[in-house]
Amino acid sequence: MIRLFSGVHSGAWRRHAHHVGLAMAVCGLTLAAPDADAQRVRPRDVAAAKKAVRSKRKARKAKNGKGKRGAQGQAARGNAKCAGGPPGAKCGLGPDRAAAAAAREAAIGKDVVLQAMAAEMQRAQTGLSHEGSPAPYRVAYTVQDAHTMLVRAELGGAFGTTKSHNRAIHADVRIGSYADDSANFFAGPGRGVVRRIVTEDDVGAVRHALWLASDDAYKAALRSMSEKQVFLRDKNGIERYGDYTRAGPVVHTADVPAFAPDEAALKAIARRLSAELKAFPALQQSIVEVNHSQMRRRYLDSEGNLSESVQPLVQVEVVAKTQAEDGMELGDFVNFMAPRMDALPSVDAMAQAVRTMGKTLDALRTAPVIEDYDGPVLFEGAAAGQLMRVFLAGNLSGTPAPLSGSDVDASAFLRRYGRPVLPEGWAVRDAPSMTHTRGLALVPCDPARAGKKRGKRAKKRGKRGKATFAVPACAGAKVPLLGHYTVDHEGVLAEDVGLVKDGILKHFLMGRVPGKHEKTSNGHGRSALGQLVAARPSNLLVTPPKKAKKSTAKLKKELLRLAKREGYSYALIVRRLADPGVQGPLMPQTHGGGQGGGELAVPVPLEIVKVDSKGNETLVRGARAGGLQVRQLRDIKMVGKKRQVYNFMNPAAGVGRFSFGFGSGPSSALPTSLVTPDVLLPWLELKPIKGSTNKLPMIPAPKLSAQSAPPEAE
Amino acid sequence: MQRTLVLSSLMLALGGAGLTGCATTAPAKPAPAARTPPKVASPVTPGTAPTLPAMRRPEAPALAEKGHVLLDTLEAELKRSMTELEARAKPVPYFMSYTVTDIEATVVSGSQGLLADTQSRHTRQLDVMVRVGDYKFDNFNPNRGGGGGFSSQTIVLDDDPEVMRRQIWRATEGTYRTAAQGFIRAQTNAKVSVREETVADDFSRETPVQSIAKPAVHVADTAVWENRVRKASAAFRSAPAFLGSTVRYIATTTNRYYVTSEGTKVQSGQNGYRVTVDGRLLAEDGMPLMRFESFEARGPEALPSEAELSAASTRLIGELRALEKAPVVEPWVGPVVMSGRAAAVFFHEILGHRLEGHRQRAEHSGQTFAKDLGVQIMPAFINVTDDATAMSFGDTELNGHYFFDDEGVKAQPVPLVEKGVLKRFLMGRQPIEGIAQSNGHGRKQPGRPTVARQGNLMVLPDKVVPADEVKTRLRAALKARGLPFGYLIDDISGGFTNTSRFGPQAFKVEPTMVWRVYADGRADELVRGVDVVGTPKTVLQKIIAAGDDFAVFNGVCGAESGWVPVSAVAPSLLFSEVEIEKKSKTATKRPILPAPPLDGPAASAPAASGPQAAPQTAPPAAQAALQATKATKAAERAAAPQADSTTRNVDAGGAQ
Repeated sequence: MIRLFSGVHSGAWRRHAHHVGLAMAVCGLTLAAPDADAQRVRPRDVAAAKKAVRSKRKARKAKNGKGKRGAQGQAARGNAKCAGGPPGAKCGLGPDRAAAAAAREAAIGKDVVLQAMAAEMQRAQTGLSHEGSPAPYRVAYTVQDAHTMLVRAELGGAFGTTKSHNRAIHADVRIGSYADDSANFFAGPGRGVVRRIVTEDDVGAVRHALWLASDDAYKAALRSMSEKQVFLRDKNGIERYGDYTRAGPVVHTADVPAFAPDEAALKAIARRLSAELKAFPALQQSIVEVNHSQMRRRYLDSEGNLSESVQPLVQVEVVAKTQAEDGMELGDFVNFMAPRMDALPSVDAMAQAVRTMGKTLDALRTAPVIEDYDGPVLFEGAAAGQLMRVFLAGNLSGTPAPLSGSDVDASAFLRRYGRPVLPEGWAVRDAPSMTHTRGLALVPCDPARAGKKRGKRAKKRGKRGKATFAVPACAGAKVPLLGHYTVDHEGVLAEDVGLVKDGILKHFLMGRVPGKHEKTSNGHGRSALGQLVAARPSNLLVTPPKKAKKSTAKLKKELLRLAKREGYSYALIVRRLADPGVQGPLMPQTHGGGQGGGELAVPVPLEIVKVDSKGNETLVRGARAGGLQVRQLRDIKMVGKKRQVYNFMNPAAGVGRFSFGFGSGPSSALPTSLVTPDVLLPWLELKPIKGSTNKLPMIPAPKLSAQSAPPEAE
Repeated sequence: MQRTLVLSSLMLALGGAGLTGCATTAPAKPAPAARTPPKVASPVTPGTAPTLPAMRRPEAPALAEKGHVLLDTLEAELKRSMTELEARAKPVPYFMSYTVTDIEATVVSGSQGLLADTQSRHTRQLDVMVRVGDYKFDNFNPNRGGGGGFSSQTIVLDDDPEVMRRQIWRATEGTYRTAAQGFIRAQTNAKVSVREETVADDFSRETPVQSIAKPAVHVADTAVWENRVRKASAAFRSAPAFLGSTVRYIATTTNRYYVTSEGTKVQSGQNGYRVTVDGRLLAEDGMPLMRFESFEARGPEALPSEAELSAASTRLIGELRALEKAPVVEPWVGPVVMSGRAAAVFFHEILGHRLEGHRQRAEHSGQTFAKDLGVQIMPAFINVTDDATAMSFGDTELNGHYFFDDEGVKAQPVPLVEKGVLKRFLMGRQPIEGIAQSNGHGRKQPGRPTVARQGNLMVLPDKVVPADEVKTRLRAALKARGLPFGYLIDDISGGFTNTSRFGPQAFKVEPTMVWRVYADGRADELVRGVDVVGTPKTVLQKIIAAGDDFAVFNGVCGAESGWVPVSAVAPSLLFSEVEIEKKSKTATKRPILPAPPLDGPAASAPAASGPQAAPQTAPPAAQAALQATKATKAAERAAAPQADSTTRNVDAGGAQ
């Protein structure tokens, strides 16, 4: 059952009056029986939202009369207010604050932890004033339960399993006012502490922890406020947009499935996938990690917002390293992510991708080193997603950097608001409401699972898509999107936002910290617990105009033509870059491109092929990329025809393009999807990595028995 | 901020009771001029010879019929690596060893009657040591060495020789490279540096041993302990104003597989159990107050019962409340009594660490006692031994027991100080001038290279007086100096001692329970904010009496080679002069709001028919032994202060 109450504060939302569905004030609904597919799978809010997306599309089709995805930006943005509604449901007018308050009371009544949060919040709001210091104007508590089970294996042998459940709390206490408060200041004493507490539910224990956390946070706020005032007193030219905005009240509760990972199944996957690499004895080291996790958040603030969210995730990472014959360190990886186990590709399909990766890495050992190149590059498959991630992931956030003396913008797009950032006809949308899309997964799909709806057309598409990837893709299937969520980390309902339309930057992703151009949250404020909450993307959909979409053959032809003009008899295709989150101990120590003074650093390319005029491909190794300028986005003239889903863990600390995180785990990064076709970038500098390399091992590697068949999955 | 929390919990898990490190990172300084060793007068009035409790010293571990597959794999890969390196590498390694430590741990922790997640983990860690050069001079030379030659990594848990060999291969190749680089650097260093102050080989020759003990099996009754942790931590619900409290149960099974290129092959296993209770409070003046209690055992049967654990919680709560109201001391010097437990920690810190062999040779080390063999360094009625062969002291199990050290050398009793005269050092396989062999004290935690460490350090005086008499003598000493009061240090949370030559050769120990003892016989008064400071050579000469109340401190000790389990045994000791200084404190105000209510049982506390009904598996004999031990302990604790009293008469020193 899903319970969703949205009492929208009319004043705060007035400026969004053009959005469809905003008149809705309370949208409460009950879903008795989600569709069979959804029931099998996952927390029901996801299933319900999926339905909502479906219904939304239906509505859109009806509206447009064509079923095209034209005006999706705004419509979706408004409609997302009702995310979770059954097909055809309409969100009507109703008593807002009163209904929200009632829903809040009901939710609090049912949950011991929320009870504790509410009780302590009441005390903090009124009692926290000290020797004439002001009481907080706003208090927000988050309680996060992180469940994980992590298994690792190498060459078929498993390491120990790490299973953990921890509960952590954070208190955000602000003094001052929305216009001018104690937060949003770079040099302040931080945002209060994250405390680990017992995992069993108990009012007293949770209150005790929140009591101490609130006290710490309040004292920190007092210090921060005075430091901020001192700073402002002595500085000129500080641009201020206000410090925080009102939102809600929104009450959103979710059913929380028990976290029941199947250790044997996880281990079977890890053993099986890692055993695949026995076929490549020249790979010196490899590791397979399977991490099944579930992050649950409870959020309560003094403005009447209450929300619960659950983020289930399965991550499979396969990383391998070796040395070329000249000693150069080489690494590669392949990864798979899904919101639940049965949404992963089949083990056979993953194994095939692992083999392909192994084969490529093995071949790289003897591949020639790249020569200096300064020309067009075709980004295929995962690399296309990775390239667009470099351009867009941080720069679409409208959250400003906290107040400081620096004039560096958190978004390279800040000064391009309302102006072109992409060529004409291009659209970029962020759609947290979406759970699936039709397109190409970057891993082979299991045909058996692609769905009954997969007709002739889909099959045909699948065939056509085959040649594009180092890892063969499977077309036409429903591919899960990882970025789906319903309510953000500041209690605001997620909206789908049309960011770029016809190449023009129309909106930014916003959290509740107001920016230069936009003041109101569109439900994208998210972060790792305790970190500065900034707007971050969820499902980024990059949609080029039809005229830019070309077949693979045409793309390659154009690639070679452009290269020839630059004086090259060949051109380069990049198929995979390093992922800053996926490295473990194994990736070569060559991260962080950005050589050449660009605004944006391109990670180290791992898989590059040289293609000649006859279409012959040769692997090359040892490249590093120069930096990019965001304006290069506007030079993109041609893309592939097929949409591909690139999944990644987006670092969840820092702001905009200065986001950072530690590793790719669910507690420090957010699952994010980026949908884009292959991209022909007219210009990029790629040159050989310089520096010495380690000699090859002196002791010969022990023999591996099984270049034979991999073991059966358990 | 999260990091802070993690760190503090680490301290609790590993060393809260503990003994902290002896960093020796300062640059080498010129050697001091030759010194004349001091003569120590013995002002003590004679007592009687103590009656020491029996110590259990099993000859050898129970042996297994066959070694684990890991041993064979390690041995095979070691042979192969040596052969390959001999054929191809230059310089060639002369010694190589592999250690795999298989650790299975279960941790149940809770607070306020509720559980945090129960953790269990199982890992295998491979440590590789490669020595290049020869026994006389290699890459590990402590003064000219170029480093390298050691690495550590996690390996698979599956008994899959093929994968393990692959992992061992990688580790060996990498470690050899750093060893060879280190050796070349060491050779150059030796050429461009002055001669070492002392002449000794870099690695001792020991007779290879082979011992295949039965592997230890992990036993952790989580259901029983989840219940016990809940119950014991629930006591803290009566103290909502405390900043925090934790009760933690840690069951660890360690199986170790060690092979060397010399032919040593040791398989050993042991279980260790540790239960800890702690509470934290912020005094009105911003001084953080913490009380900690731990219980150690080799088998589950010797662990505290539910009642004992709850009693420990209640006692700590009382002590913290008393400390909160206790006056803060001012810097002071004068006669002091240390209870057995405190004296044990004190000796571990100020003497034990300074007798570790490698410190006598490292030229950046203070070498406090390096030239004092044969010299009287403390009064003649005191003997100090480190005896890792002892498994128990009376009924109390000793944490520092082992059969073979981490370099495969058999444990042996080492009389360090006899009648006040320094006789020996604690030796691993790194020789020092005049001492070529190990005495079985090379110890480490997985992931660290070995150095000489303590095992069971025992302070065993020839002459003792009844425990009451120690305090009588304290009063006498106070009167003689015209001081109105002195101090009795009842418990020490830990301390640190600087052994680097760069800094002063001083120690600081951090007592937690300190009583002001009045010369006029008035009731003792609890005080807080006390640190004890001093220098080792001086303070050891100030011991003027020992009690007959031997106490055991079990804990873990951290130093260069990581955390190792240790014990220290001592009677209460009277010092004629000890210096006391103020403890640091914070400027943190107490929370503005009063604590929220925490009374009533925890929401998740199980019903009476819960897991506590599960029977204890301990055999009756062990139960009886446990009862006996705990009865003594209970007697000691009976003297503990009531919840709100700040005074008491100190008569019990904590005999065990």
